[in-house]
Amino acid sequence: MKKLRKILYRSFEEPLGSSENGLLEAGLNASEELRKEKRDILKLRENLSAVKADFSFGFEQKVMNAIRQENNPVATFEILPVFRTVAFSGLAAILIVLVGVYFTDGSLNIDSIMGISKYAPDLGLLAFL
Amino acid sequence: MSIGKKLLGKEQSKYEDDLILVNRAIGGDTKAFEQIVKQYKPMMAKVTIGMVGNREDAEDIGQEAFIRFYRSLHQYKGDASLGTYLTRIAINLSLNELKRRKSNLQVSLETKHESGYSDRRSFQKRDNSELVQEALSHLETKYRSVVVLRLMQGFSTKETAKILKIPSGTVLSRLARGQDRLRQIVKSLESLTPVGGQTIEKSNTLNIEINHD
Repeated sequence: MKKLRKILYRSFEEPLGSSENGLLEAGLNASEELRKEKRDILKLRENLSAVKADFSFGFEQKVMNAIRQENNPVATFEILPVFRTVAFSGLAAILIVLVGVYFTDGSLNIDSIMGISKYAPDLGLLAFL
Repeated sequence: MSIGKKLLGKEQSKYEDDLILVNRAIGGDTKAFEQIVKQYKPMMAKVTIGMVGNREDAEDIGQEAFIRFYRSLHQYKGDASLGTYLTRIAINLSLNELKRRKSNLQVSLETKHESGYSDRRSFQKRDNSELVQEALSHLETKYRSVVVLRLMQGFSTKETAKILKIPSGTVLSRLARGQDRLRQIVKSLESLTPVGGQTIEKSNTLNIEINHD
């Protein structure tokens, strides 16, 4: 029986010689157990080849992002476009204010920027008190 | 032209197409590499999921395999087909992962019970494919790798031997033993029959004996 089982398993993988083929045929005709084993193995092989497996959606992108990061680590440090817009707008507003201050006060010292250039320090202090 | 020759021609043309893609990728064409990833993703998924059992770990291994291939693109000389080459990387990474997990030699089905596998509804929902995948996870690594490559992925005995770097005779003997063990494991899993809202185990535990050849 052990020999027959060995031949049975090999028969799934490679063509048998005529004598082995005859032996297996005879064994299968004589033994229900061996026939069942053959059916089980065929079913198992069928189920194994039918297994469907796939990675989740976006796998390729994950791989390519990792590769791009590896190729060019600096380029991957991307500021979100919305932050860039806010930063540029803020910078433009500051420049406009500075130009405005320069034209009204004629200088860009800290008092002018703060809008207190027309006040003497003591007056400011008195006003505060 | 005979079918055999036609098939050989197809394989040859695939091999040449792959080489072109690899050369383009070496030249810095990331689109070419993306095409390789797309083409070999299903194969990579089948091999890694078959080996490690769960998709999350398999995806990490798949990603790592493609990245390693990218890093060593220039080392690919076309001696083996791209599929074989990538599978070799994936199998090695999967084996490392399995070693890391230090999987138990004896798997108690009672543990699975607690983790929900023996829940009546989940048993009823499980189809043949799921049952086989579950059984695979109980199979010893050396048999599993052969079964996954030869029977799930459909590599020939020679290709399987080449990927695993073992003789063809060893592939055949491991395949026979692997199928025999898998058949027994499937039987044990099937013997957990749901009756009256409770799962009755015909055999209390599924003891996986490891045969060393």
